[in-house]
Amino acid sequence: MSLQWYENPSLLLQLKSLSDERKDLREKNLFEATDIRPENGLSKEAPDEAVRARTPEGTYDDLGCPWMGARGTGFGRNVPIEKTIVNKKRLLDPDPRVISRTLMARDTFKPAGILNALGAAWLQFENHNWFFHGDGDPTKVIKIPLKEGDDFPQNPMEIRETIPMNGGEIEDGKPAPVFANVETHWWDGSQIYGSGSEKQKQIRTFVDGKIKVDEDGRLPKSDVPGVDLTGMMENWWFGPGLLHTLFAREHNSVVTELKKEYPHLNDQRLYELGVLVVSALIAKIHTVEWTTTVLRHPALQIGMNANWYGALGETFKDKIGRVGDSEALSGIVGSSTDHHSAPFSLTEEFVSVYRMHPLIPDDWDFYSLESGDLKRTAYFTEIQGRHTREFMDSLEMGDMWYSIGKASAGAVCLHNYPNSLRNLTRIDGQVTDLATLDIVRDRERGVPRYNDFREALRMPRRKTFDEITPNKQWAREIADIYKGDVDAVDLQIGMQAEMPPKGFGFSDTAFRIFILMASRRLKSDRFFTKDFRPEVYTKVGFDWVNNNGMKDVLLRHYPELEPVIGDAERVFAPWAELGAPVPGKANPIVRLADTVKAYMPW
Amino acid sequence: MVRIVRFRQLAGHVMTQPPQASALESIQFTATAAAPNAITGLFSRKEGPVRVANLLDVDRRGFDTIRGLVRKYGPGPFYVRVAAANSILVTDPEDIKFVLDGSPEKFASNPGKKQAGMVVFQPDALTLSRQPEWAGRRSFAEHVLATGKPLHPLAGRFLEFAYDEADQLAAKGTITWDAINESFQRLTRRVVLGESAAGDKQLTGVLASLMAEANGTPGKVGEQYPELLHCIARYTKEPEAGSLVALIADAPGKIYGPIEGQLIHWLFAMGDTLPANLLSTLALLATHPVKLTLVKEEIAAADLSDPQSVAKLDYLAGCIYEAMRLWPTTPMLARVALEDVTFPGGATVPAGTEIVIHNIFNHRNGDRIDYANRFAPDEWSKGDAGKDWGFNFFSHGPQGCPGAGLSIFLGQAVLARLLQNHGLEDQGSGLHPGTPLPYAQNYFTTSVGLSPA
Repeated sequence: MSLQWYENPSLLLQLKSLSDERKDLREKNLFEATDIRPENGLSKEAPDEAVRARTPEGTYDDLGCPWMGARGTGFGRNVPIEKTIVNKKRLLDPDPRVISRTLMARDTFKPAGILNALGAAWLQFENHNWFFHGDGDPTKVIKIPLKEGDDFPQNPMEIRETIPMNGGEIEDGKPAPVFANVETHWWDGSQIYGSGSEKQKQIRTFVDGKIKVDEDGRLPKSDVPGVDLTGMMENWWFGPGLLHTLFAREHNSVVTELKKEYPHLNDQRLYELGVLVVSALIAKIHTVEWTTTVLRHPALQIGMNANWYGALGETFKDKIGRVGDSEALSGIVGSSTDHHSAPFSLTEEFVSVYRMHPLIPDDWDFYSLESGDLKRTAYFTEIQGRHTREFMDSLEMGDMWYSIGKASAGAVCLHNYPNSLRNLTRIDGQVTDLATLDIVRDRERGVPRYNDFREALRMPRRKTFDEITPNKQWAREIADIYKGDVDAVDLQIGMQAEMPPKGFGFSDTAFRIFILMASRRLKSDRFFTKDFRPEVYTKVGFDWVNNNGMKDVLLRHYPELEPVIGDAERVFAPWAELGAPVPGKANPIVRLADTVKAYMPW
Repeated sequence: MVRIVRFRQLAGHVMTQPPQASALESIQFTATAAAPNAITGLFSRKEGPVRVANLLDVDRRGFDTIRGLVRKYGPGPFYVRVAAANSILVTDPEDIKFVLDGSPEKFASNPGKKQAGMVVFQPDALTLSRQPEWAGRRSFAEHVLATGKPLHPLAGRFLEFAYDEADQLAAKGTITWDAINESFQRLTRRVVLGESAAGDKQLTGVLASLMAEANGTPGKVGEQYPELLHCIARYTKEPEAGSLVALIADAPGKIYGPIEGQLIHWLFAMGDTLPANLLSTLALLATHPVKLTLVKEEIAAADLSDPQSVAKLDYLAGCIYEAMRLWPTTPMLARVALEDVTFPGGATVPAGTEIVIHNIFNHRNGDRIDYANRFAPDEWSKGDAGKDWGFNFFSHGPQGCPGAGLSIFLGQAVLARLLQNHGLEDQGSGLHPGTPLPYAQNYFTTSVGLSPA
């Protein structure tokens, strides 16, 4: 077996290896079933508003294939379709609830160190942009009988089945059917604006391109108890609450500036441009700020910036502009669009590797941004779902931002799954153990188990449990649960047991899907490639994307955060204690994180 | 060293000292008949050395050496030095019966090397036990394995497992050692530990690595032994109905030590030894078309859904016995005299003497058996081979293999299912009905093709 990319002796070779790896993945790991999207129903000739901007349905991003990436179209695959066989007899083997209790349940909180809780909320914020499989059908459930001594409040535990896109059932021994994405597949800010024009109508004010934000700077309340009116309202808690509020406000700032510069533009044009600018800004922040914080390997610091800016770097590109059409030299953004070996869609495997619930802490401390004093503590269940809005109204926004920025996210590893999410009463009354759900979902949707998954990505199979993880205790626990069958280990368990490459916040296995799909979200999207230009974004809009980052956005709307993030290099790394940092020096947690010595439960 | 020879008078017997092979003959014996056994792996056969041994025709040379000695000093017991130890070689069925019937009371079955090796992976094994442990462990094994019963109480369930494994094996088209070994390891786990153990390759892997370690006869319990017990305990803790572990609760007999330690022998005997013999059986049948036809006729006439009917496939059983006779996977049995003993012919040996029963020689001793070097299933299904104490692939007497019945049943089941639906194609075994069968058959490199029936 050849070297894994991070085993190469020099940074240059690592970068080369990563680049080759991505090329290989683009050629060999993009698949889609038939009937993933309709062929008819949309005119071949794109209407003008679909050419110039993103549509609410996600149609016409690709002008030659207008349904590509649209809301309601199916998820693709990163493993060949014939490797997505569903084994219904083994849907509950080994018992997913036992896995939740014995391998996943958090014993003590293991902090990620390199990423703050804002970074955890950010990932959920992004996932809500990218995918949602829908609410299911209350009459179609998977029943999981509890073992003796299990105090889960519902017996048998019930999990709603995922409903296939084109009718029919999930059949045993056959490849999983196509499941639809309720969201658009594109990186289009649909968590803020909603997918579909019906939803977007609820969000818009229809005045000067603005979307609804209350006078006090908070989002309007919705009909759903505790949840704000926004594009994506599922799985609500105060973290996404902060981010949805922030970017709704950012949208309104963008359109205000556009209106000032281009007074002739009407509400529709202003709104469209706001969507383009804010979604590009979110994509940029994700690529060059969030990702470089959670994947703190030197090769990724370069690689992710290269995705956005290209190898020539930010300064060069700002001054000189693009050099030819090379993705390697000038980055993906602004290069030509390319779907590689399959039309664009997000994939089931992408959904799987982003099951990173251990990032979320159970126990929260809330501090005063003014005094630094502890104002209150809360368990996660008290700050989510129907309690969210009431909780958020009880604190200043600055206090919440400070508290979530200061707190560390959890490490994505075994025995660190938030217990609050393992016994969660949802707004609709369903009681859920999300850890059990994470296991069942992969099995139900024909996502291969860990070794088969790795093999499909040309990573070496693990022959023994000790090869999966250097943690002997974990290896033994996994072996007992999976009865000595290393090939039965679920994807989630393998990924959470793996020791990530140096500086990584998640496994190398997850990372393979990540390097393929993260760049693909940019490379396939017309508005990040050939239409990322002033003629489409306007000069003001184009500059807005290029000249702003997360810190700028935060300080624009919450200038009171200046004392805690003014000097911060990384907004998604734990913030400094109020008044604590020596000027010019990062706080100790950040320094520790930068040495990559943090985050070592192994 | 001067040997003290004692002459005693017992009722009706004249005490004699057994003859002694010369030093040169002993060196020859050690070199050709005993050492190769150690080099190819006493407890876990090593593929490389086995191939070399075959190339050098080691088994034939060992055979010739022994035959020369037996003709000169036999057929009664005689001394031959095996390396440093002066051992008694026993070849006459009457003497063999005397030794095996007298085990484990007069003859212990844990001579030095065997003890030093087996202790690595099964320190509490029945086969190493002396009294009082032996009696308790033996009655436990006999209960769970249904020793001596015409049919195991769980035979119906085991038949399902066997057919499932046979079908999966058949799907590969060619039966190689790796394929049949993997199938039988899984079948064994299902039979012994239950369906939930089907995928437990970890357990099998730990056992395999302990057995490889045992080849060095380190004389102490292996470091991974607790791990092996831990793996087995996954299934003894919550025994699955329809598997052997489910029968443990009702089994009599004091075990002296962890119950898991009693299951280990079954795991390798059924998972490694049995498939090696079955692969040889298939190679024999693939090269003996007349006998293959007879087996297929017997199978066609049987009701394979009925375990009793499967157990009565006597000719098929005879084929399996023949493979075991021709190429015994246990080349020799060894015992230690616990007291001074006098053989039926009057030869007397002192306590502490090692006794060797050389299966490779005894099974092919043409001076006694006229079908020594040919494939003769009839001798078992119709003849008296089953009564011959010279054939000791399952041993005989109180220490005879307690799982013999069950393992033959599983072998019958898998082969019947395979042969019911398929023909066989020899793939270069070199076996031929017209020529004497070779003394060694390398199962590592044997493969047999399946053709449509």
